[in-house]
Parts: sequence; C-alpha cells; structure tokens
Amino acid sequence: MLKIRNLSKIYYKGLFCKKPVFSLNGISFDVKHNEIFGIIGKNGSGKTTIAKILLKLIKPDYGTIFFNNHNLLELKGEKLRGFRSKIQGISQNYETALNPRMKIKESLKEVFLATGRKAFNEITDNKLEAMLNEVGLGQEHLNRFPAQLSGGQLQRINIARAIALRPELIIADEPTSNLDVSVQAQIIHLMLKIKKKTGMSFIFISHDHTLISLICDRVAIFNAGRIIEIKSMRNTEKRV
Amino acid sequence: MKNLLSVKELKLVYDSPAGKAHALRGVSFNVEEGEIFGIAGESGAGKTTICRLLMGFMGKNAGISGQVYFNGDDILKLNHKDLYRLYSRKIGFLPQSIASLNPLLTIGTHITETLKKNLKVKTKKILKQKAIYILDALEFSDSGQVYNSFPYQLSGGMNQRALLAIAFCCFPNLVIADEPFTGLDPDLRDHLLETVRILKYKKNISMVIVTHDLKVIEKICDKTAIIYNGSFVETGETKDVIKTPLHPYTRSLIKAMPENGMIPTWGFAPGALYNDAGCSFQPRCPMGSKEKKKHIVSFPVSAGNNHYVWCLNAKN
Repeated sequence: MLKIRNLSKIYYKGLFCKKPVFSLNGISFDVKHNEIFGIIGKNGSGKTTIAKILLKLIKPDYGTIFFNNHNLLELKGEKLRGFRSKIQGISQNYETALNPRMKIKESLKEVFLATGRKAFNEITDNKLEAMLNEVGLGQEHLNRFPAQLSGGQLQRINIARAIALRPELIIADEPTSNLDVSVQAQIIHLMLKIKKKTGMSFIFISHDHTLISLICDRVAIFNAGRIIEIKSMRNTEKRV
Repeated sequence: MKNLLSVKELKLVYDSPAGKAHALRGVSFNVEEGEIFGIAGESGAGKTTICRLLMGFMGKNAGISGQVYFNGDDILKLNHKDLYRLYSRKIGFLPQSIASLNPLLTIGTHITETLKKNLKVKTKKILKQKAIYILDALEFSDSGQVYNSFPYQLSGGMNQRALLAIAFCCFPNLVIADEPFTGLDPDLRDHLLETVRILKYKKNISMVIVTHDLKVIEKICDKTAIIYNGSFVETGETKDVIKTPLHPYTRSLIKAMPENGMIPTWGFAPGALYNDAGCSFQPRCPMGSKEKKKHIVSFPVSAGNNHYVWCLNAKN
C-alpha cells in the first residue's frame, strides 16, 4: 500500500557556515494492507521526521513515496485534499493537538471539513456521539473543553478524530509515551480493536521496545537517520 | 536516619463551578536523609499537585490544609523571604519539560544564576569553574562547549541533563522531580538514572520523584507510594510494593505494563469532584461490591515492614 524509496531529509545547522545534518538518510520500506508497522529508535534518530513527511507537513529533499500507486510528493490541490483523508496522524502531545478554545464537539466536527462544506453542514450531534462511543466516551464529553478532560480521554478524542474519515493508514507518533501504564494499555487495546474492525494499517512509532514487540507485525529499527534492520516479529502467540 | 521532609494530612480543596473539588485528600509521608521517595499514579491523580505544594507554587488563596515540615520548619507557614532562601539553597526542583529552559540564555548562565544565590565568592571565574565541575559530573563529553550553548543547540537528552545540572548544582538537601524522565528513550533514561544515583550517594541528597513510569520507580526509589484520585492507596519499600502489591489498583498498574501483557483495567478515575466517603477505586475494582462501598477506608491496613494498604480486601 505504501512504498517509500530512498527518502532523505537534510537540515542545515549553524548560522553562517551551513553544515548539513541528515535527519533521514536513504530510507526505504513498504507498509502492507492491514498491518501494524513499528518504527523504533533513539531520540533524534528521525522517527518523527518520517511521520511529518508522510503527513505532508514537511517536504523531503530526495526520494519518492507511493501510496496506492500515486506519487504522494507530486499531488496538489483537489487531489491532495482527497488524499489527506486517507492518511491520518495521532500526535504524541495530546494536549496541544486540540484547540483549547474549541469544545470537543467543534474539534470533532472540524475533521469533516476535509470532505467538503456540504457534508460538514450535515453532521449531527448523534453522529458525533457515535464517534465518541467508538472510543469509549459518552455524550457528556461533547460540550466540554480540552482542559476539562484527562490525558487518556484527550488521547481517545485524538483517536476518534483520526479514525472519523475511515483512513487507510494511521501514523501514530508515540501515542502513549506521555500516558501512564494503565491508560496506555487501554489506548493500545482500543487501537487494536479499531484495526480489527476496520482493517486499517498503522505505522506505530515508539521508543519502547517491549510495547513494539507486543503489537507490531514488522519493525524497522532506526539509527541516526538510517534503517539498520527490518524484522518481522515472530512471537505472534504472545500478541495482545 | 533523620527525617528531612515530613508531610502530614496534606489536603487541597478548591472551588469549581460544579462544586468542591478535592485535588488531594489527606496525604502523609516522610522522606529521610539520603532517601529517594517515589510517587506513582495515573494522570489526574494529584502527583503534580504534591510537587507544586512542596515547591510553594500554590497561592495563599488555595484551600490548603495540613503540615509540611522541612528540617523542623513548617513550609506552609513561612513568609516569602524565608521561603525564597529555602528554595534557592536547600530545595532543588527538576521540572518535567525542557521548555523550562530559557531559550535566550546559555546553559552556563542558567547554572551560574542558581549558583550566585549560594556562593559567597561570586567572581565569574569561580562560578564558571563550579558550573563546569557539575557538567563534568553529569558526564558531558565537552563541558566547555555545553556551557556556552543555547538550549536549541543541544538534543533533548542533553537538555534534560542540563536541567539535572541546574537542579543539583548547589547540592541541595532535597530535590523534587516532577516526571523527570518522561519521553526519553530507555538507554538515555537508564543513563540519567545512574547519574542521579551516583550524585545522591556522593552528596547524600534526598529526592521526591513523581512519575507514572513504574520502571523508574523500580530502578531508583527506596520507598514508593501509589496515589489514586488524590489519596495514597499503598505505601512501603519499593521491593514490597512492586513485587508483592496488595491493593487492587497497584496490581492493575503492574498488570498493565507491556512486560506483563498489558491487561487494562477499563474505566476512568472518578475525578476530583468525587465526594463519596467510600473507596474511590470501588467502581473499577475487580474485588469491589456494592456493600463494600459503604466502608470508609480512612486508615491503612498494615502488612508488616512499613507496608501499608488502604483497602479492606487487601488481605484476600
């Protein structure tokens, strides 16, 4: 489904003498349908950069990305908008991912702007409630502000936003690293349940080796902007 | 050993539009000299509130009750001048986020600013020497360069170590750390934990570490308290609490670790507005029943060796 070939991203360090720093250095991997692909690496190894490139928040310097046989980097205008609903992201900072001045109801509704103004106007409270029910929250959370919810609840709302348009691929950038273990277990189980129900693929970025080995089908190990190993996880019987 | 910090029945109640909110419901603990005390729990349980109260960040208008004795003085009753002296010399603070560093100042300036409050001789040369000494102690490969760098020029891990340097630079008696190792990769976290342990032994520094990461607790803390919805549910030596947990909430936390198969306990904590006299974990408790909700769990059950549990079913 997703084919990445020879992807590189270079940052320039220093004010006057520009020194190139390879954040990504010739990355190539594939993600199949209905698969959880894990990315693991140290801080600063380029994990978040690849998530940002796939969500088209930043541009790579070299390389190609094919998503369902379309070259992602060449999409523009109306076509790009159609593609955006197919790849969604879940951020690490659940607090900053939501607008603090918008009610949860408005934040959830905002997602549907990607499908056009007409569809956006037709969204009812019942539909939003169904979205919340999917992630284990209820109607009472609709009229609250982000500051009135706990970390676990906010991350659930981020997941609800990500799965609302039924994307084909979800990029989860350390979705549980700021959460405590009991909420982490709840969020991971929720993601696995959604994957089973909808057949989405996930790119799961984390630095927790145990967590990655529990839930992922295949794992890429990043080090200083390069992939040093891609392995499939054998211990499938231990999987959650 | 002598008690350095002693917290007795610390409570924090504030008014919210929906009624009285209990952020802390009577928390008591002691930290001895050279001891690391860990507080673990989920987000919203009141961990950061304890840190803020101990650091005096809460205003006078907040509904605080209880006593916090540091070296015999009640912190909550000290005036502003005495508090300033205490916090600049005797108590250090290690914040969670590297955003606490001022982006316009170098790491060196951060450290020397703290040192100025503590040293009698304040020449630039001595301040720099002391700052480089602490940076060396934290195993920076090129301390001189780090001294002159701005936070944006360093990686996340290096900034985190710089925060450690600021907290430990004047070797305070007590360091309060609010989720100090969150978001770091395991290698770096273990490395920093080792550094903290060495500093603690060398200078006999006590610490209060607040975290949601049970691995940090297991690796570094001498004593541990598990907090749920504003009150302690289990306290004791770390090995007792982690190896033989008695409270159902502690058990659920340990079961939810990725190493143990990540079995979740569904549901949410009732929140600060919960005002029922019974156990606040009862709605999620696997052993809970409606009858037991009526019991007030205001005193702990002892399980020997200073291990206390706030649960009537603990022994089953």
